[in-house]
Parts: sequence; C-alpha cells; structure tokens
Amino acid sequence: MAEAAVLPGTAVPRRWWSPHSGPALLAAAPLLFLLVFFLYPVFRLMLLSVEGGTTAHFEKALTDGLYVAVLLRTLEIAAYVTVLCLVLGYPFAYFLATATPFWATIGFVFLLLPFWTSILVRTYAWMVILGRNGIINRFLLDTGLVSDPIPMLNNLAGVLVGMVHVLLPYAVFPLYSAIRRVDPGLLLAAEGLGASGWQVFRRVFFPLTLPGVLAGSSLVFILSAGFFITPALLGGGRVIMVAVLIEKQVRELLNWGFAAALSIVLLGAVLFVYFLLRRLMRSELEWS
Amino acid sequence: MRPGILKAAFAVTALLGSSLVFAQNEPPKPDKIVINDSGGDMQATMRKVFYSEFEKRYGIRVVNTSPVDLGKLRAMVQSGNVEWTVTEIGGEDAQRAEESGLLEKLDLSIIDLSKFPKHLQNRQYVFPKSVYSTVMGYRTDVFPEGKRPKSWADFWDVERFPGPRTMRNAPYDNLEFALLADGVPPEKLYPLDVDRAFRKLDQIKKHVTVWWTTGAQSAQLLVDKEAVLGTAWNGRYYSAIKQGAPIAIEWNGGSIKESAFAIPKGAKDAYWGQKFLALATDAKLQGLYADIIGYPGLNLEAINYTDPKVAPYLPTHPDNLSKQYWVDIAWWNKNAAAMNERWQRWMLQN
Amino acid sequence: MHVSKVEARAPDLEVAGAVRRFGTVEALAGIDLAVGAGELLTILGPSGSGKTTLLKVIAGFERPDRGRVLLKGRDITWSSPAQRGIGMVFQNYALFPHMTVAQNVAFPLEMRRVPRAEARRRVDEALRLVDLAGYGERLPKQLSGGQQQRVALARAVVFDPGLLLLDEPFGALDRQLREQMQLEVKRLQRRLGLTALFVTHDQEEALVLSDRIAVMNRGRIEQLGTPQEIYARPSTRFVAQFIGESNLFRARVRDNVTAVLDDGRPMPLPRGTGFAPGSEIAIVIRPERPRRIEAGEDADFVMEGVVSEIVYVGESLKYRLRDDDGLELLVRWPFRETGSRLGVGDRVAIGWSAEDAHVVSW
Repeated sequence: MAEAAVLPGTAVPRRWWSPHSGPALLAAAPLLFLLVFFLYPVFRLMLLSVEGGTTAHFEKALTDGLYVAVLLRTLEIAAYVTVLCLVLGYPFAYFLATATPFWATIGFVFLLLPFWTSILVRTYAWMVILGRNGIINRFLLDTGLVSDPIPMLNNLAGVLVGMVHVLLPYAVFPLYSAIRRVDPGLLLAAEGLGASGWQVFRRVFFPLTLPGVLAGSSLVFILSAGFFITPALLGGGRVIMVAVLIEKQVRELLNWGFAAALSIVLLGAVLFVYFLLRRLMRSELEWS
Repeated sequence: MRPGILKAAFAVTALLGSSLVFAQNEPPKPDKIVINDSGGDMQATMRKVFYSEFEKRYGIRVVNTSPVDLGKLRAMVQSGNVEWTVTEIGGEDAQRAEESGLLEKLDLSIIDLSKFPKHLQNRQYVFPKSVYSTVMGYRTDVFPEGKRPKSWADFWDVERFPGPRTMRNAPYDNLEFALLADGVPPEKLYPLDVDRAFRKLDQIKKHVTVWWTTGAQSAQLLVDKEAVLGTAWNGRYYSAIKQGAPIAIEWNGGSIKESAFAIPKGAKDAYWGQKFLALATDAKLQGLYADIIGYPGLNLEAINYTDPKVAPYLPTHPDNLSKQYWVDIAWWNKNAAAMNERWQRWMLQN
Repeated sequence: MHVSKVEARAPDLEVAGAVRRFGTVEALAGIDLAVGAGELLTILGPSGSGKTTLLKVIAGFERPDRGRVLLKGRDITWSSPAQRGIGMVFQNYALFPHMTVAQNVAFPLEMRRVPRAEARRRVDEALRLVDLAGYGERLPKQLSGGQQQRVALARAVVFDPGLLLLDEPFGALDRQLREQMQLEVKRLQRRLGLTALFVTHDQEEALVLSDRIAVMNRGRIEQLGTPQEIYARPSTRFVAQFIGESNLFRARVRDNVTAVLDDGRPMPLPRGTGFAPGSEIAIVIRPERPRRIEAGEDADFVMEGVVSEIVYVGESLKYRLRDDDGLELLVRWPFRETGSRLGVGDRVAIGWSAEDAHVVSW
C-alpha cells in the first residue's frame, strides 16, 4: 500500500518499451509516416505561402477573378466527375459483387486497366475512339447520322471521359465493399414486408450502401480536384483546373509562394466540401 | 632480358607516367553522371549520338532522366541535393535559371565555343546546345501545292484555309504569331504589343480545336487529322514527315530559339559535366544529331557533317533562317508571369 | 404417414401437393398442409428436412415445381412476396439498421401507402403491444437482442397480416430470454387472433408454442398433430426419436399382446396396435413411464439392472440403467420421488405396464 504511493521526485524509472506498448508502437509507425511525409510538407507549404510575412499571395488567390473562377470551375468539374463515377460505378460495383468469380475477375481487370496504361497511351486511345476522325464520329458520318463530326474531345466532355476513366476504380472499390456487406436477408425481409423491387433498392439496399457512396465520392472528389495532366491533354487546353495553374507557378514561373497559397486554398476548399458532404450525410450514416 | 623489350618497357612506363601527371589535374572519375533531358525521341537521339560517345571516351556511365523541369532544378539546388550533373533547359527558362543562381559557371577552358557564332562565344552559364523553331505545319492532302498557307496571316485566314487548328497552350510564340499575322514586321515585334496580340488571337480562338500541352501531342494531332493546320517544334514535324505523314513545314514566321544545357549549381562531378558539354560542341556529332532529329547544333562547322537531304528541314538552313525571327528571351523573362496569367484569363473567356 | 384430417376451423393457409426439386434432391416431396384460422402451427424438422424450402414457398421467395399455395382461399402460388401480405419474423431479426425502431415498424405500412397519421397510430400501438413504447426513436443497434426481437415482431404484425411466419426467430437468444419470448409470441398471437406458421428445429420450443406440429423429414411431413399426440403417439420411428427422449426397442410381433425383442425376451404390447404377427416394430417407451418396482410389486414388464449414469435436469433426474444382458433403458423421475436415494452402481428393478408402450413400425 505504502509502496504504491510514489513520492515526488522519486518517480519509478520507466522503460521506454514494455510488453504493453506494442499497440502504441504499431500505431506510431503510420503516424510518424504521416507526420514526416504529409503534415510536415503541408506545414512547410503554409510557411511558404506567407513567405516574407505577407498575405499578398492569399489575397491574390482569393480575389483575382482568374483564380477564383478556376477554383470554382475545378470544384464544379470535380463534382461532375464524382457524380458520373457514382452513377457508372454503382451498377458496376453491383455487378462485381454479385457476378461469378470468373466474370468478377474479368470486371476487375477492366476496371484496373487504366492503372497499367500511361496517360499518353490512354489519351491517344480516347482520341482513336472519340476524335474528329475517331471510330464513333466515322460511324456517325458514314451512316449519315451527322454531317459534321461531334466534338467529344478537347472540351469538357473529353476531360470528364478521361477523368472518369481513371477515377472509376476509386468509386467502385468502396461501393463494392459496401455492397458486399449488405445482408441479403434484409432485402428478403423488405420484400416480404411488402416492398417492390424499386422500393427495396431505394429504402433498404441503397441506404445501406451509403457509407460506400460517401467513401467513394470523397475519394473521387478529392482526387479529381487535384487533377492536372488529363484535363490538359483531353480538354484541348480549354478546361483549366487549379492544379494546372499551380504547376505553372511551380515549374515555369518559380513563384512558389503563390503556388503554395493556391494549393492551400484548394486544400481548404476541398476539405470544406468534404466536411459539408459528411455533415449532410451524418444522419444517414449514424447507424454505421 | 633483351634490350628491345627493355626499351618497350621503358616507353610504357614513360607513357603511364605522363598520363599519371595528366590525371592528377582532373578529379577522380565517378562511376556515372546523370544527364536530364526532355525524354522521348530526343533522349534516344542524345543517347545514340552524345551519351554513348561520352561513355566510350571517358568510361563513365551516363544515366539519363527526364523531363526537363525548372521547378525541380530549383528544388534540387535549394535543398543542396543536386542529382543531375547536366540538365537541358527550355529556351524560355534559361535566363530565369541563370538569374535565379541555379547554374554552375561554364568552364570555357574546357568547353570550346570558338566555332560558334560570335554572339554566343562569351556564354557564362547557359550552353547553347542546339536550335529549334516553333513553326507552322499543315496537312498536304488538305492544302495541296498552290493552295498552301504561306504566312501567319494565312493561318489566321479561315476562309481560304478552312479546318481545325492547333496551337500551344501557352503565350510563348503565339503572341508573336498573332502580331505577325496582324502585319507587324518581324524586326518590330519586340517589345510585344500585347493588347494587339490578344485582340488578334480572339479572331482565331474558336478555330483552334486543341491547345496542345506536350510536344508529342502537337504533331500527332496533324497526323490524326484532328487538326489540319498547327504549330509545333520543327523536330516534331520532321519526325512525322520522316515516317511518311502528309505534313509540310512553313518556315515563314518561325520562332527560332536555342535549346540550352547547363550544369546545376552544386552538381556533383561538375567537372565531368563540363567535359560532357565540351563533347557536345563537336561538329561531327552535332551534324549526326541534326540528321536524326532535325535540331541542328550551333557549331558552324556542323553543317559540313549534315546530310544535304536533311538540311532543308533544319531551322538553320540559310533559306529557312532568313524567314524566321529570333525570340527575345529577355523580354519573355521579364513578362512571362504576367503573360501566363493573361493567357489563362483569356482562355477562360468564351 | 399419418396426417390428421380433422380441422377445427376453415383453413387460412393451404398448401396442396407442393413439390420442389433442386437438381436431384427433392426438398419438398409433396407437401399437403392446412393451417386453421387463428392457429399456431409449427413446422419442426432437422436441418435439411425441407422446412426452410416450405417456408420460402409459402412466403413467395421460392416457387414450387408443382402444387399450390392458398391464403384465405386465394391462390398465391405465383404472387410476389410483397403481394402476399404475410408478416415475417426472420432469423437474426432482419431489422433495417439504418432505420429507427419506429421507421422499421412503419416500413410495411409505408409500403402499403397507409396515411401517415394512421401509420403513426398503428406503430405506437404495435410498439406498446410488445412493451417497447417510447423506444421508437432508437436505432436497432441500441437495443438488446430480446428488444430487437420484439421490434421484429411488432413490424411483422403491425399491418394485420393474413399470416404470420416465424423463421427460427429465437435462435440467437439465450435460453432464458428465449423461453420468455416464446410465451410472449404465443400471447400476442392469441390476442391478435393471428394465424401463424412457425419454423424451428427445436422440438422443445415446438412443444411449448404450438397448437399443432408438422414434423418434417426428407421433404415430407411425417406427422401432423397436437403436441400431445405427437409426443404420446409418434407415428413413425423418426418422430419418436426426434420429439422428446425415448427408449426404442426393436422387436417382432408374436401375437396381439406380445412381441419378441432381438435377444428373445418377450415384451408386452398395448392393445390394438394393429400390427400383424411377424411385423418388425419399434416399441417406444418414454423415459418418465417406467416405475420403480419395490419387492413384492409386479408389472407387465420388469427388468433389473444397475444404474450406470445419473444426470440432473432441474426438477428431475435421468438415470441410465443396464441389465445383465446389456439391455439399456433411460428413465426420468421427479427429484422428490427418488431424490438421492439412488446412486451409480445401485441395483434396481423397474417395470411398466403394456399401455405405457407405444408401437411404430421399425
């Protein structure tokens, strides 16, 4: 009893490691990784953005019509891409989750194909398909359905096609795992309680996959907000996203302070949208 | 031991000794040096002509990296972790790199510029590796003999020369092209009348279906007929033409500039970087390089080693050179940031 | 197969000649079943007996290859589950985790487009009925297993279904809670006058709950009858073994009153078994039937043996006896009768009267 009371100044020496510190150490590794490779660079970025004790970079980023317009455009495009990825990814994820292993494997290969192809090859492939002289336009022209080629590349449509192609897996994987987690018994129950096929989907199946929808859309949104090479190549130069401007400041104009300010504004905007989304869906996700 | 052999041994020892004396003047040979270039065909040709020759001559391996990236160069120099021994620098960036103190001084006792044009012989930091030009190119099946565009005014003339165009997604060259199209004489281009240039660009904007980003894209767009009229670096058109694409180059109003190489400040084995640049002055190698890729070197004797059939495709060919204008790098260096911003702003307008 | 033909009331649910094959396996090999209005009928069988398939055919999740299903006289064989209007309670409750308790219970009403105010009233009523008034705003995960079960029950009855189906609903509950819930279900079913079909593999549960029990085996109903009937007069050897504990003796009928065991020992038969001499039969003795024979007493059949094992089961004790010829017998006597007076190794004489036995064909 008396031994348990440690007198001030006579602290029991503690080893830095004990058998109980295992889990803490396990968590320490990724934390350290994040600290060194993410938080520290972000901190440096912040310092850089207010270099020389001036907020001029931020003022410019937040008031100059060009940067504000491009920022809004970036978020808008990210939103389009997110919605498209969800709309296309949901049925695809459903297919993967319910198909036989053979078809599921084939589906996964197709899904991951863009990861194994370089951006230039992908861009070229889309040119072959969607270009003025691409397969689709050739067909439409030859059959006389149109008299002039439909512009499907080098505009917003091209950018969306290219970005959705690359980002689809980021939507599909969380959706796939959410769909796999849905208890089929609940669907039978809903049906047994009087729900039609559509009602089963809308009231039970879909709400149960919402965590996957949130995870997938967050990933896609965050990634697309930072996209840079695809919009440049498939947008024909007309579609300008913030990352393109940041890249120009970093690589060409060497104005790193302003680039940092732009990056932080983009980061802030994306985080804002992300938390807004989370908040809007909070009541829907309380159960999970 | 026979006297003959003794004599030979003596000679060998003397030779070894002299090379030993020589070797004491130079830093030890590293195992490899790293040269950063813009990759693709350019890298393949650099390897075929210069890198392999360097390896053969000095027994030092050349490792190549790409792409050319001014931002990365600055990051390397600032962090003191310079991984490149030599790097290519884009024409527009060279002066900025020099002024930002990112470059090692050229050792002109090693690099012999005496065969180069006079105005280049006192270069301090930037090695004038070769010359390239942003030129007009067009499909010869769409614009056959007699109906070919001959000037930037023609490029702008969508009535006589209809069809989708492609231009680089940057203000560089395009402002000059617009002014030339608007009737400004080449010698009065600089300082650029920016407002006038953008007004002229407004006219062509909706006819440019693709604003290209990468060099590979520029020529491919013509090959695929995504565009029938465009701008590109001359070597890009040259290689497409070599592969049989129905494309012709119009040199009139071409935007000629040098493509530079330099040694980053604080580069390891900088001495061997100087040695490499010295090798790059070789007229014979420069001639060979131009034959393959269409970018001539600046050694005036190189033309003697260039295939006469290739010469018309080079921006330095006398017929071509007279039609082009030299880009004012100083003007661009001063105005690049503002012009880029204005360019993006202009792009956003509809 | 002995199917009880007598129905007290007009049947609410009728299954006629239902057959369902999966490949070469006959999950349902011709099922005829009628459930009377307000009756609680249990389908009891081991796993693989076809009871789950039968439930699915009735609920509409599975179509029979042949045969019909009628609910209140309406042929629903080809109706979708939603069209059938059957209230279902599932294994593991199948509560919708993303809906509150009230939303769960309101779900079938919503699907039937019941007006909102009316729905709210009925949800409140249903929750009160299962003692969960005031729990409406909670999420299922915030409830205990028993409470979740009661929500599932409320959800199944809130829309006045023509039939209540319960599919092994108590499997996940611990014993005490299970017994409590069994009584609650029965009380609710009685109070609402619901016709109910209950599927279980737990014979004890079936005996407690049911008005009648259909014992299924290999795609057929082996016996349909009241719990008492099924327990006291199992119609097949399978039923005798599956329901409750029993001693089974293989024997051959010698005459109207005697059969001979395999070891040649004669055993008395109850009257009117109707088996012809020479028939191979099983004599079923429920463990609570044999009595202890004190000196001077007698019985129709007496055996003397040694207690080889004693098991305490609450109110009673189970004894395993073995006679000198190796014949084994399980008996169960109330604790207060034998108490601790018998121990392992004790020698004891027991016997029963001919009427204590029940005979089925082997």
